[in-house]
Amino acid sequence: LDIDSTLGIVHLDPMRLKQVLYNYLSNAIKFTPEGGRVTLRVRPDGSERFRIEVEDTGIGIRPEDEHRLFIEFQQLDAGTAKKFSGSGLGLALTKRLVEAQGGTVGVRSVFGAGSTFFATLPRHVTAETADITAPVTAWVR
Amino acid sequence: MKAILIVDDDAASLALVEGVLEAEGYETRKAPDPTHALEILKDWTPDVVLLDIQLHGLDNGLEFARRLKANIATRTTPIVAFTAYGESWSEAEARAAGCDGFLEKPITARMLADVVRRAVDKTG
Repeated sequence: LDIDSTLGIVHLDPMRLKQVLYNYLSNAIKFTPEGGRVTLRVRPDGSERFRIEVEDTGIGIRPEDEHRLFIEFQQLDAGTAKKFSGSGLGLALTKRLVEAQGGTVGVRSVFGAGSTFFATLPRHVTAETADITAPVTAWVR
Repeated sequence: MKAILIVDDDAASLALVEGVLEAEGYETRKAPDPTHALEILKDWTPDVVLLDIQLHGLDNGLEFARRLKANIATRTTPIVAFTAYGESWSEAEARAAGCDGFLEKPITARMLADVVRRAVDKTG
């Protein structure tokens, strides 16, 4: 865990931040072999934004696959969907959650050496941006 | 004490759901896949089955739901299907497979507790 002491105070939506961190961290842990390392880093990104990074020493991602990671599961062809099964869904959701708060997501990776997934967010998530809720379905019949 | 069987291949998700349900006072058992779930069901009868219907590809979780609904010993046990956000195919599929409830991830602890309580209430 590496938190930059100059970060200062940020205001965010705890529920969504938790989901984003959960998705990034569980992914990193899943693809990092035993003895590897997963680092969560939080640092300022300019004066208006901050940046969360989850770095792992896992299997990494082929450069040609990087851009597909955050794509919605159902937009992938069957073979690719299978390949990313268990990771693509979480990442597509992460992207949606972060963008709904005015942020961006991305990844840097060295194939075979590890990946760093990041999200940048405004320091202060405003009421109206935080108000966009995912249309979640739940029923019992 | 009401008992819940949780079937999910994601260990982290399994642990989270278990934590929430135990805090709500349910007895829980966990299975990472339908095969293990069937083993557990041989000598243990839950009040509700909570099932990730995207287990191992698209059909396996649904197939398991259909199987439970076709078996006289388990057909009355409510099944709550859960699935990832944005999987629009899954709601109708869950319904068709005979699932009694449906939950779309991300699930909040409150939503989970609420849906499980409603499913448990069906069993009386």
